[in-house]
Amino acid sequence: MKHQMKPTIMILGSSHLANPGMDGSNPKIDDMLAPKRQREIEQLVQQLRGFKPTKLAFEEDFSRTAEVNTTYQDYLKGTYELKRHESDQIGFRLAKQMGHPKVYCVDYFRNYSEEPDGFFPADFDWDLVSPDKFAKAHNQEHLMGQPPTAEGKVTQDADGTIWIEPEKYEPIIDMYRRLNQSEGIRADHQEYLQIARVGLGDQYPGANWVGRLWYTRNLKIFVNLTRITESADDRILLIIGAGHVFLVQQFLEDSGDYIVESPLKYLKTEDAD
Amino acid sequence: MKALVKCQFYLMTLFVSVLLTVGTVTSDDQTNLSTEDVMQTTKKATVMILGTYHMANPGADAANFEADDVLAPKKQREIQQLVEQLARFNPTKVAVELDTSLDTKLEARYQDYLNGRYQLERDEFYQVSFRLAKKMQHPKVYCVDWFGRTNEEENTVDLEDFAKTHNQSVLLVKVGTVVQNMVQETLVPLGELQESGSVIDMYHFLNQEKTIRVMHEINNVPALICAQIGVADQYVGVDALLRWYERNLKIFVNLTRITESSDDRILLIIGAGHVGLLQQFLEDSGDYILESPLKYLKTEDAN
Repeated sequence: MKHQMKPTIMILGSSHLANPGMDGSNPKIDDMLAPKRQREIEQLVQQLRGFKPTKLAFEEDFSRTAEVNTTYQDYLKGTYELKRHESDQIGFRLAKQMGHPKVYCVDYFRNYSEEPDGFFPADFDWDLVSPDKFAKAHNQEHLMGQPPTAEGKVTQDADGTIWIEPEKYEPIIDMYRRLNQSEGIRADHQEYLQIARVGLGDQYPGANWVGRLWYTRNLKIFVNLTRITESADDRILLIIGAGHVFLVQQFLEDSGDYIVESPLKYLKTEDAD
Repeated sequence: MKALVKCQFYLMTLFVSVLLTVGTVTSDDQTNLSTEDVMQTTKKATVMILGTYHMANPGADAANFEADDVLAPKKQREIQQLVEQLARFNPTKVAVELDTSLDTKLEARYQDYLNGRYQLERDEFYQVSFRLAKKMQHPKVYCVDWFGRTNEEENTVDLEDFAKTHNQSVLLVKVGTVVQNMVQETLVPLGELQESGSVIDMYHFLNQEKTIRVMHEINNVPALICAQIGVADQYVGVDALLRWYERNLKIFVNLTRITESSDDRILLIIGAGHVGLLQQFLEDSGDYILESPLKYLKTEDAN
């Protein structure tokens, strides 16, 4: 293997630009369709072209591949207007500029209790993997992570979703540079190791959740990347929530089968050296 | 089930435990701590992992190392010497690779040992841990392993069959090659040291940074390859890696549970295959200072 060429993967850790509010605490982002943001995104895409990706991979369940590609074809034909989320704004634009015939969905993200997938039996006791519930009942909420108040104003919706509104305007490229620094990526991972500690005695709801849901999901993302890799000439750009970068990158590196490139190399702020 | 079993075996500990060499983190480097744990304010507890081989030949691993009889007088002298050296770490707690459910039983046995009513059997958790704990006057020895009690669901897919029928046999061949190469780099030299050197020489080898890395890879890389077996909605090969990860994550959690203060200095004695991953958790958590046992292990003719 050592003497063979290897395919290359670059992971762009991202915020969710369309504010889906799916995470524990969510940065609230202003409207990506505003003209100034659109110019910034165009510039970001321009810089990412330097990587010369052969494939774009997104944080969408792979079962959505056909659907997402129908949309991509519509975009190529000019009959689809890009929505706010990052796979549209960055992924579709870049894929089109690179002349890619299709795009790839590599996530594995299901609502397991409603769509049993064989991994969890139908009668699975979900409390075994619910650190949130256990932490509340056993005074361990400090292990569940706190929103980083320093980064902005924290608000909470009626349904409990936590939002962080930035205090000052951050250009898109600056944001991506920040999200992809190794310290931040490591800090994200550290939170999962805290959550893993939720539990007592024979009960490990935190470690079970981290292992069976979070780790497994990222392992499957790695597997899906291996499945879309066709040759050593492949240069895959994965656009994914920044919290995933640590584990997916570790799998890629540990496998010994990929060269992993950092996006920082391509992202230049205007007044940067 | 053959191939599946093989993959799972690769994941089990090949030999005994270890520690972190490089990267000893000082509290000054730590920023961005996310909880208000006392531990995280300034001082941190220390953990040293001693990677070991399994002295009693339990034969639980994929590639098993054949240990000579550790009750032989020469080995006993060498183990005594090893214990003397490890005592310089000043451990406040000794933790071993036994399931937490055995904690009470082990404690009773340790009390018997202190009272002269139990003669040490061959396993490293008796030979090394009991002796060391006694020397340090510890009231007990801690069990921190976890061996699967959460709704274990048997994967019924035969990996080897699956790989063959889906044109993925190349992955299994790759696993074989990878493991063979790694055994050459670890078990083979360890066997040579058993012949020509002392028990301390063996531990010195097992706890070197390079050995730790290769031992970690023996568990990790074949499992990452096996994980790729499967098509479409099927991920038949991911279980082995998940179980290995989950077990070690729970060992890490158990270490956090026995940590009582920043004055704690915990010595974990565990199969060398675990060391790499456990070091990663302890370091990534930002909550511990890691020490390498190499600092304490002096081979007789060493500089």
